[in-house]
Amino acid sequence: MSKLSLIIQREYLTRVKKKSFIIISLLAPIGMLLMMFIPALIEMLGTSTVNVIAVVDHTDEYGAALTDDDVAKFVAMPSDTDENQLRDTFEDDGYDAYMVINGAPDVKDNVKMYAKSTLTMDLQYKVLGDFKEALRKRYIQDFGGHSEAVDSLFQKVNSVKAEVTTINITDQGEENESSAAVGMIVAFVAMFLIYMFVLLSGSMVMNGVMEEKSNRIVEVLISSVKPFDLMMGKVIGIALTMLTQFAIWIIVGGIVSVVASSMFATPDMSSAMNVASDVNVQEVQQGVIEEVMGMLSSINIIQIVILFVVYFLCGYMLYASLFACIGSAVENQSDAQQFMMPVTIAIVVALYLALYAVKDPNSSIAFWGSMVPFTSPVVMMARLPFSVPAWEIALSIAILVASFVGSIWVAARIYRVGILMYGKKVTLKELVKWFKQAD
Amino acid sequence: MAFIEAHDIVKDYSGHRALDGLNLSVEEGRVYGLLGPNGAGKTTFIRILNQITKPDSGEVLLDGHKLCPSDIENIGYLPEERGLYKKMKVGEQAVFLAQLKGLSKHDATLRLKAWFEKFGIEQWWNKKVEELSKGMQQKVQFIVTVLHEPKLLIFDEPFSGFDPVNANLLKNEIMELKQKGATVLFSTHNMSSVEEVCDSITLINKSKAVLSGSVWDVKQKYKDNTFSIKFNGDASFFSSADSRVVMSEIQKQRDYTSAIITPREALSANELIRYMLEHVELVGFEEKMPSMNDIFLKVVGSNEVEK
Repeated sequence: MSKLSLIIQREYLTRVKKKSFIIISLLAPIGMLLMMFIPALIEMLGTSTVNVIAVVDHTDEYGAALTDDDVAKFVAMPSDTDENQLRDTFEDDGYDAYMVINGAPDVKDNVKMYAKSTLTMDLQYKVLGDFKEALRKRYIQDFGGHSEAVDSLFQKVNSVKAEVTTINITDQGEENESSAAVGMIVAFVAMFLIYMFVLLSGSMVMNGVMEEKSNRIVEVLISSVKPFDLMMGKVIGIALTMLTQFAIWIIVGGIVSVVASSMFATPDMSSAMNVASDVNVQEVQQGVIEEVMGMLSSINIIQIVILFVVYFLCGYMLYASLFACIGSAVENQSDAQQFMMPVTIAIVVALYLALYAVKDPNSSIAFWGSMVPFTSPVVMMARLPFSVPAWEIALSIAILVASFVGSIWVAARIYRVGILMYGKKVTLKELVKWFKQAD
Repeated sequence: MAFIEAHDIVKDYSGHRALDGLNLSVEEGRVYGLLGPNGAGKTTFIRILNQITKPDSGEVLLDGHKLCPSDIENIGYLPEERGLYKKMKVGEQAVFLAQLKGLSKHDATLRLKAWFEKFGIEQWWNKKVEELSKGMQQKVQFIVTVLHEPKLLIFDEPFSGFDPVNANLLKNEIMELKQKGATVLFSTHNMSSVEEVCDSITLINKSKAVLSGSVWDVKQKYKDNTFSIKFNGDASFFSSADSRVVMSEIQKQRDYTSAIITPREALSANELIRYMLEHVELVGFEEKMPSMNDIFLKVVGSNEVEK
C-alpha cells in the first residue's frame, strides 16, 4: 500500500469512527426533518380549546355575523345586560370572554372584547374574519343592494389570481416548465451546503495539521513520508470524510422522510389534521409536492448534484490547501486567527455574492463571482438552477482547477518548512521566505 | 567501508548557514556520537540523513550509495521532539507508523505484540495514547522506532525526558541493537552517556565538524599528560629541581600517599613508572584522562574564544 493511501486511510478512518461523526451523520437529517414536521406536529397535537364568548350586541346586526366553530362559540346576551355586572361574573358564568358591539366594526373601539387572559390569535382571526364578511355584505347592501352578480364579482375580486408559465427551452429544443421559486430554493440549499462544507472541512484540515505539529508527531511522520504526501493525504482523507457524511445525510434523510410521510399519511393522523384546519391539508400538500417535483425535474437535479460534488471538491481543495498552509505555520488556535481572517472573509464574500446571484443570476457580478476561484464554488451553485451556459461552467471549473493546483503547490512549499518550525513569530514575510527556500 | 559518509555538506537556511562543509564517516555496527551545542547543526544533518531536507551541496553516501527514497525503510529515527496522536489507540497507531516504514499490517502486528510483551505493556494495546503516562509513551515511541529492524538508527537526544529506569532500558536496547549489527547515530549533549555507549564521535560546532575520531583517540588527543599515583615512601626528592616530574596535590592517606604528577619531559608511561620506582614504592598508577565533558567544554570554549 502506498504511503499516501496509508495517510488517507488513517485520516478517513479515525474521523469516520469517531462517535461525534456517527451522531452528527444520523441526527442531522433527522433533526432537519423534525424541524420541517414540527409545525404539522404542533397543529396535530395542539387540541384547540373552544372559547365561549358572551356577546352583547347593541347594533342588532353584527352579533349575528359571528358563527360558531371549533375555535369559538358565541352566546348572544340580551342587549340590556348590565355590563358592569357581566364584567364581574362572566368567568363564573362559564365564559372565556365577553364582547360588546356598539357599532359597525370598521370604526375603532366600536367593538370591544374583554377577557382575563390574553386571547389566542386563532380567536382574534376568527372574529375579525366574521366581521369582515359582515362588513362586506353591509357595504354591498349600501351600494345598491345584494345581487348574485355582485356576489360573484366579489368572489372573483377576492380570489384574483394571475399565472404566467415560464418555459425553458433546452439546448435540445425541449420545453421545460421552470419556476424561479423552486430554482431559488435549490440554489439556496446548494450554496449554503457548499459554503458550510468548505468552511467546515477547511478548518478540519487546519486543526489536523496543527494537531500533528503541536503533538510533535510530525517529525516522526515526515521521516517516513514526504511532506507533500502527508498534506495531501490529510486533504483527501477529510474530503472523503465529508463526502461520506453527505452520502449518509442523503440516505438517512431519504429513509426518514419516507418513514415520516407514511406515518403522516395514516388515516387518523390526516383526519386530525383536517380537523385542525378547515382545508384538506393533505390534498394541498400533495398538490404542492407534485408541483415542486415537476419543477425540480425541469432544473436537471442530476446535473446540479454532479456539479455540486465537483465544485465542492475543487473549492475544498483550494481552501483546504490554504488552511493546511496556515495550520503548518502556527502552533496554536489563537495564532491561527490572524491568518484565518482573510480566508474566512473570502468565503463570506462568496456567500454574499451568491445571495445576490440568486436574485439576478445573469448579472455581471454574478458572472464574475462565478469565475473568481475563491467565490465561484458558492456563487456558481446559486446560479446553476437558472440554466447557466455550458461554456461558463466549463471556464469556471477550469479556472478553479488551475487555481487549486497552484494553491496546493504554494501551500506545500510553505507547509514543508512550516511544520518543522517552532517558536517563531510568523509573519507574511516569513511565509514568503519559506516559500522561496529550497528543499 | 564506512556505512555513512558525508562529504562537504553545506546547508543554508535563508541567511544562516546551518552546515558548512561537514565531513564525517561512520563505520558499520558502531555507536556514533554526534555532539555539539544547541544550534550547531546536528539536527540539520540528521534531517538530511532522513531526507527531510536536502543539502545545498555535498553528498551523503549510505552503505556506499547516494541517499535514495527507499533508504527511509532502513532508518529508524527517534527525533528529539517526539509525540504521538493523542486520540488514537496505541496499537492502531503503532501499526500505522510501522506501515509507513514499509512493514505489512500483518508483520507489524506480530512484531509489535512481541515488543509489547517484552516491555510488559500488552494491556495498553487498546488504550488511547492520552491515557498513557509519559514513560509509557516513550516506550511505545522507542518500539516504533526500532520495529522495522533498520540498519541505521538515529536517536536525537534519546535520553532527554526519559526517567532513569527507562533511560537504562533504552541504553541496554541500544547496545543490543548494536550487537545485532545495527549502526547507531546518536545526537546528544549529554556527555556521560556518550562515554558509556559511543565508540566514535564527531563534535560539531558552529556548522563545522571540529573534532572526529574514536572516543579513545579523542581522549588521547586531549589528555594533558598527567598521572595520578598512590605510593609509600619519602617523596621529598620530587620537590627538588633535579626531579624529572612535578608533583602536586600530595595527600597523606591512611595507608598510602596520593598525588598528581606531570613529567617535565616526554616520558612514556612505562619510563615514568620505572623512574618513580627508583624513588618510592608505587601502589597505584593511572593516567588521568579527560572526560568527554571536559573535552567538549575545551573545544567549544576555545572556538568561542577564536571568534
